[in-house]
Amino acid sequence: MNSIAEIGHFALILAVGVALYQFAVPLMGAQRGDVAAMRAGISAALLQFVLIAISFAALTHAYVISDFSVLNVVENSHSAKPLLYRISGVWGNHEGSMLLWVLILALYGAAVAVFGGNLPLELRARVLAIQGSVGFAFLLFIVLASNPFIRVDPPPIEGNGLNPILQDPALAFHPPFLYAGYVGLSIAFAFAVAALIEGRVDAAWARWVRPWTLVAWMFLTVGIAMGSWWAYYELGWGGWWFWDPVENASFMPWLVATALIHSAIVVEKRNALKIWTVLLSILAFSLSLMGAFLVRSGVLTSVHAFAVDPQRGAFILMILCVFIGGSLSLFAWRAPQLKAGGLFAPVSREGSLVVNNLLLCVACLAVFVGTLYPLALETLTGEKISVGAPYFDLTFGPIILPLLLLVPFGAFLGWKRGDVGLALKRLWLALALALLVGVIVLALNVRGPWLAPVGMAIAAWLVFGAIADVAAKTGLFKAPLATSWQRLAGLPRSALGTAVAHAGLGILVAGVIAISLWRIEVIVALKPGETAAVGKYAVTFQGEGPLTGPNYTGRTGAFLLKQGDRELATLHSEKRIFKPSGMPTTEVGLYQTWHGDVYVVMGDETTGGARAMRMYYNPLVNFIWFGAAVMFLGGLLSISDRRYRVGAPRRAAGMQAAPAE
Amino acid sequence: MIWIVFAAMTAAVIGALLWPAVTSRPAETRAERAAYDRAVFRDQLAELERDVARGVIGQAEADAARNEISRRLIAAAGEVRAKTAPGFASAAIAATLIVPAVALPLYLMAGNPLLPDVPHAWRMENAENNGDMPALIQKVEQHLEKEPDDLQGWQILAPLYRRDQRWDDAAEAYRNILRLQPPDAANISDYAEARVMANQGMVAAPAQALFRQALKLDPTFPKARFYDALALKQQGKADEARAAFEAFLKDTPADAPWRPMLLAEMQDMSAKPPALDQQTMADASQMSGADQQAMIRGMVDGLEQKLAANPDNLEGWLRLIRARAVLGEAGKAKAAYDRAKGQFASNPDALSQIDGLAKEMNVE
Repeated sequence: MNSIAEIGHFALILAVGVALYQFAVPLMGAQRGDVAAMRAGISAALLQFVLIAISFAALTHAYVISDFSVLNVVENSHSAKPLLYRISGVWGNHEGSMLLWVLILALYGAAVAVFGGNLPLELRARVLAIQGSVGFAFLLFIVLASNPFIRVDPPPIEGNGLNPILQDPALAFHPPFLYAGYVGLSIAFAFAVAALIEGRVDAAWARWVRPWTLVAWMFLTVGIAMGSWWAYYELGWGGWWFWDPVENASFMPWLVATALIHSAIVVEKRNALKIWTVLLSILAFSLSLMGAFLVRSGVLTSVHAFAVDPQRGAFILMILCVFIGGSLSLFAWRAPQLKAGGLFAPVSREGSLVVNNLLLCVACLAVFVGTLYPLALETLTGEKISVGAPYFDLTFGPIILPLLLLVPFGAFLGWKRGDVGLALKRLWLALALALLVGVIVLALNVRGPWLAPVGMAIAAWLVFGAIADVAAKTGLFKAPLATSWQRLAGLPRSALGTAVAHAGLGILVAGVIAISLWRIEVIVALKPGETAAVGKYAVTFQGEGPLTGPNYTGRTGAFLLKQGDRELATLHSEKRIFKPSGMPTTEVGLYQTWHGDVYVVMGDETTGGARAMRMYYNPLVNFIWFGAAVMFLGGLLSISDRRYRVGAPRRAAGMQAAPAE
Repeated sequence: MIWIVFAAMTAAVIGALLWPAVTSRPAETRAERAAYDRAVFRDQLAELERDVARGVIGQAEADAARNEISRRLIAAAGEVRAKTAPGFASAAIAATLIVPAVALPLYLMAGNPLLPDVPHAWRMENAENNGDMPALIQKVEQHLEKEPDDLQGWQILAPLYRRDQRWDDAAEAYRNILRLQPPDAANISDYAEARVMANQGMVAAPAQALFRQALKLDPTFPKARFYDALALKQQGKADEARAAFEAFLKDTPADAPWRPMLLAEMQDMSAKPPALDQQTMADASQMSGADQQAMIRGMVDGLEQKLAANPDNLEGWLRLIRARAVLGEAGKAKAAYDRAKGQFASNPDALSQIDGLAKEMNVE
């Protein structure tokens, strides 16, 4: 009888060898000009993906059939668990999530092998070799220190179950998206290192870095948004972002990746900023590796620190040193040999993108310091400090606000040299509308903080600026509507994607500002029948009853939500105690509208038969995730564009035509 | 045979790696590097013309862009041809040996080739055929979850739990047997014994009460007599305990299976109240019964003071509650229980442990 688990294990170990082959042979081949050796990288990359996919499928199979002869299944699954969580349990633990990590890495490698036909053979060979080296390091880590195929003999009859807090649909799919983002940055990294090895940046290099980075950025955006959405409705704290080190670990690569997708435009269209883009590619992947280290080594204790194990931490730290240290050394050595590209005036599209890059990097640095300083301090002096929202409001906020102001503006500047006056002329309506929004907010919110009107005006500025961008490109209101429509259809998707993503950013900012400034928080003790007011809503605690789920018991409280005399809904908030561990979780009662959520959490019993209740009105909170979704859509539009465009510089005279992309 | 599968997998991998090496002829020329650049630039030019045709770009900008692309195109044309080494496939072919050279030692170290898969459902279906005890136990458990009043099920489970020393589960099973059967000395004693074992061999007050109840139904029932005497011994009532053991020994036939255990207990007549620390226990065994009692009480009081000074110690509180209950100080046990609950009010895990102990020791 053949064991599928062992076949999966063997496939995983074969993948280690293939990754080593993928690293060594194409790299040597490219160095010696050996065509056969360079080609070998292509089949190795495909093979690596097939092998890891077999291995992943075997582990999933073990989870689905509840094979408790596999230690990983014993530790993280239970035969009574619903199928969805038996499958998501595969990556709901350290070993399985590392396997998912290398699976996605190999998928990206295979994609380069398949779609890289228009890359010069040497470049493709080197990119695949670097990709192979990353894969080799992590595969070796899995086999030696995080092996999901360790067997138990004799097998126990039942497993320990999955952390109940992770048994949630949003969380089941948050890691694959986030990993697709993290790991996607490895491609930009591999391109950058390959360029450094070659000492040149080809036109094809410039053309291909951006789409890969864009894919990674899109997944990262969705992954972070899903994590935040999960924290919002599952943890029951009423917040959506906590500047928690684990969140920051995913946010830092996102900031740098955002910078990277902007600088890569300049490389692609103007053949400038090449060295900077190479550096950003290295930094982006380094930050995503660092995130993996922080989260997995047990340096941070959180729901993500599945296994606190110093040996694993040391192993990941070693991988980190080799790749970050190695690539930065290579950069220091080879970057001076890269030819600098096209010239541009300070006031130009390129100039504005440079400012964007600088501000994003400084913002990332602020987050970096806020995340690592407390860790460093604790390691060196043993003193524990916590750096929370006030720090980030004071540092991250002032850096990011000017950037937001610049966004619509930059999109209106021409390539090579721009014209501020012209940009302003095209944007005056958007500016006026944004100021109007600010004034209205000021009027409605007289005693509110100064940030309220400013923040909302900036959000409006982003959205109206994006609309103005599309309007200008399609000649809206100037040409007949039919012509505008035709032009919209003919507009490069990447131009449309830019506008959509920037509008999404505006929507997100509106949500963030609104919830930070106008959230209503009510903490009361209620007995059944009593009512509390939450803004314009009245919430009546109707009483509670026992609750029995498939693998938990608990109490469920019912709340009648009224606005004036109108009954809107009955909300249910639950306190669940999960059976195997006795671990408590909270289910939030949520009433969602377009303008905000009513959020009810049933707390602990207090004296006299009452229960402590926390209730919130979270204004515009869903704008945050809607905005993120719109940004994702922008990325999707942009990536569906044909990529053969070049940035057309604008002459000093004759500027009547729409700016080209 | 799994090694055949592994050999086939390895062969397939090597074959796939060899394919490009053997199919690419050494003389094959590849496109020169600059050709890729030129292709991109030509595509850019074509795209530019499409933009012009669609009217999304002005003539002046189009001209400027065309100039820029053309300049790059010319620069690309001027590049020297990359040197192409004679395409020697032998290195790539030899390198495929890396794969088995890495994989075999790693797998021999980490793998378990002979262990079959054990799907949970398969194991449950074939539990009877395989004589698979854990699976059989789970089957009965699942059955009892649906029909908790099936006496026979509990009667199967209880001795199996005993055998595996799952004492809490055994106590629960015997409790159910007692619930479904008219009480007699045997089933009461079985239940009480399981509770004693779950309590690390300490006969707590509720368990002792159960043995007494059994003795009321059958004053000669050996198990109940033994544990009743053991309880006296553990409470430090040495004289009473000795008398009870001796009376029991008199009624015990020479070939009774419990006789050696009884004799051992009689020899080791040092009381064993709540576990404190080893050295003190050793000291205590030298003392008389009354001194021991006094010392134990002194130590329990000391523990209480320590906890008052440093209350974040769940282990300590559990020990204190247990000690108070075993010493028969119900009021103090209750006080310790209340304070422990207050201390760990925000820690449900701790609370459930405290409550579990309190229930077991009848503190409430």
